[in-house]
Amino acid sequence: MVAIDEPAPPATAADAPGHVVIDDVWESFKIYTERATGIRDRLFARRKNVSEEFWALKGVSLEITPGETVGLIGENGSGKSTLLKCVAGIYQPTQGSISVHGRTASMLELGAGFHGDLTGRENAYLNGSILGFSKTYVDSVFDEIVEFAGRQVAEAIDRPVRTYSSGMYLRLGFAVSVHLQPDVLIIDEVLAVGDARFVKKCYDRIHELKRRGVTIVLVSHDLETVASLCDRAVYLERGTVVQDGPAVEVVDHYRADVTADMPGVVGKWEGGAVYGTGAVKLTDLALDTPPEVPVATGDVLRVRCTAEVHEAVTDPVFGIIVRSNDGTYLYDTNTLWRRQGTGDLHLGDRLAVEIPLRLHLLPGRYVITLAVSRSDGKQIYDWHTDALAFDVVGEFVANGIVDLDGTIDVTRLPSG
Amino acid sequence: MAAPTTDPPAPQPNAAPRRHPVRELLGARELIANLTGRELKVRYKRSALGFAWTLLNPLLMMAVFTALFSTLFSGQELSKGWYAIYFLTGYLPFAFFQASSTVATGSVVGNAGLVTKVYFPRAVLPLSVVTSQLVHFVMGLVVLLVVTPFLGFTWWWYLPTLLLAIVLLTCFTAGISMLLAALNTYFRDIAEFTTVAFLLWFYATPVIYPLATPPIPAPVVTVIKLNPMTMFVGLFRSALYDNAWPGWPTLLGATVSAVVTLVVGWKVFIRLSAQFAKEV
Repeated sequence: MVAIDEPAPPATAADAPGHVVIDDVWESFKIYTERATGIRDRLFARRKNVSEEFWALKGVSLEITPGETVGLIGENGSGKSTLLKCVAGIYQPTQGSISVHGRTASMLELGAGFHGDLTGRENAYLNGSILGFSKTYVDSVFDEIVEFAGRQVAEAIDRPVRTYSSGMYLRLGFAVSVHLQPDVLIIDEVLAVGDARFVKKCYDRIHELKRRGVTIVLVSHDLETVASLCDRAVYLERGTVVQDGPAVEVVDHYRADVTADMPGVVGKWEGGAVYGTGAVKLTDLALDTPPEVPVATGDVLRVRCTAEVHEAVTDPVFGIIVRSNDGTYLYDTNTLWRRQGTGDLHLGDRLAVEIPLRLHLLPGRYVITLAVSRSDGKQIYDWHTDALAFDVVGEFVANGIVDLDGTIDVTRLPSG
Repeated sequence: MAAPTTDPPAPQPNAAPRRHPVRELLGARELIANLTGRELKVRYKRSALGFAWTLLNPLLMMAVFTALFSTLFSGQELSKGWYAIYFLTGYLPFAFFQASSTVATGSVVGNAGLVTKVYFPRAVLPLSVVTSQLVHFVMGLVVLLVVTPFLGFTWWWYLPTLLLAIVLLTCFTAGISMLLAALNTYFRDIAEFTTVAFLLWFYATPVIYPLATPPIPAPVVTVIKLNPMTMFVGLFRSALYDNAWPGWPTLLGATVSAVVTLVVGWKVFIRLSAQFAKEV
């Protein structure tokens, strides 16, 4: 197994376990407007079988080296799941080729192939062999699987899985998938299962596999997952690669594209990537209170920055996004939505931007993103992700994020 | 998202799969064994008599057919009498063939959840149906082997014929099973069609009647003789019932039809299997 920080020498890289080469892959689907599945329909009434060819992938090429963790991102219909299924071998490319070296385990559905009448133990072995692992191998990790799946599953391991709760079922399915040690692990949106504690356990396990040098290819709508877990991300749109590079950059690019035409889809991003065309630049980003000084629920916090104009523009959009420390999207506003003109700006102009925020927030840490973009919001001039952070403090009276200023009035009803 | 197609390439025959399909299948022996185990366990897990049904089922069939036909085909048509044994030596192979093919027909479509979510050599689906039915079949044969010597059947010299017959019939059954399983993913009518087809096939095979029975018209006899199942049943009968060596035409016919069917079934299955995940 090749460690992450020791890339295999190029001479052996091409067929090292965990090496994936996707070469100009095209994948088509037939979309039936009138589906004919009967023999009679197919043979004698062909023209009723109206189908359109839909190309889900249009010439995708990628090379994934052993130990890389790659996230595929893009909107629904961008082809990311299709590409994942091609790598998993479930679809064969209509044209082009994919070679995957080493053992592959796909987690496209947890507990795929579980049979309700078989016991947890029987299903674990069966699932292992469906994923391509021998009984001897499953024997060697069986105890770990059961332990990982938790006490509830351990107690029920010799009962038919139809008696399991859906949580237990998923836990067992996940435990089996992550304990078989493949060279390539393929994951599709399956990390969001179970309670928070189990989800954390899952992430820890995936990080561990990553450390051991397993190549991981995953699809997720959760950009936070992609940015934190992946080294590299591939942004797909309508079956072609828009951008392929370091996860953090690609996620930011994708996020910028998405927020441009559909505000409201963001996630956590740790760091502080700054990007944009630079036509207008934001400098001196600051809070009216130093970041380390906490503020209280209900206070007004002023966010300030200076905008420097490097190219003549009209009505640039200034915006702010507030997120909680765990990435929850709380507040997003900008001058476009507020129907607020910002005027004709010329080279060399400087503007002071001030955004007062009333903090209807419960104690916790919050993070601010500031940005300026073109008048239609579709081109980013300057974007400062998570540029500022502040802490809200106060007496603990409520849990959550938003202070709805609730009171709980309890009065005694007349007896009888 | 209905993206307009920009320059769709001319669709070509599929890119080569990662490994040669035969080698891939051989690598999945353990999976076939486990799926066979699943079939066997699941089938009887919730029935009171459990595995006993494997034997009970053919015995009940034997009782029914013996009651109906033993007087009709008595004495002179059967070389050795014992209509019940004559029936079983034909019925067990045919039941194995029919049950395997019928269940295997739905094996790919019925495992859609698996086919669309996990990659494994698809052929294990119909093949594990065949192997699990083979287990039932062999158990039935064992009972027959134990009982028949008491009735004067001396099969032991003809064990090689029996083993060859099992191998050839399994190949033939595997071929038909893969063919039907693959076609059924494209034409769901196959499942309906096979029910009737196998009924016809059953009567076109000398299971309940001896081929020499006078009322059968000559052209029909020709059809029956060309039926591969007649040849397989012939092999089993020569070993177990007639206790004699089979004729060369039967042996040759059975071998050729077994090999050809296996190869055709396999080729069709492999060719169509590339699209299974999209069709199920």
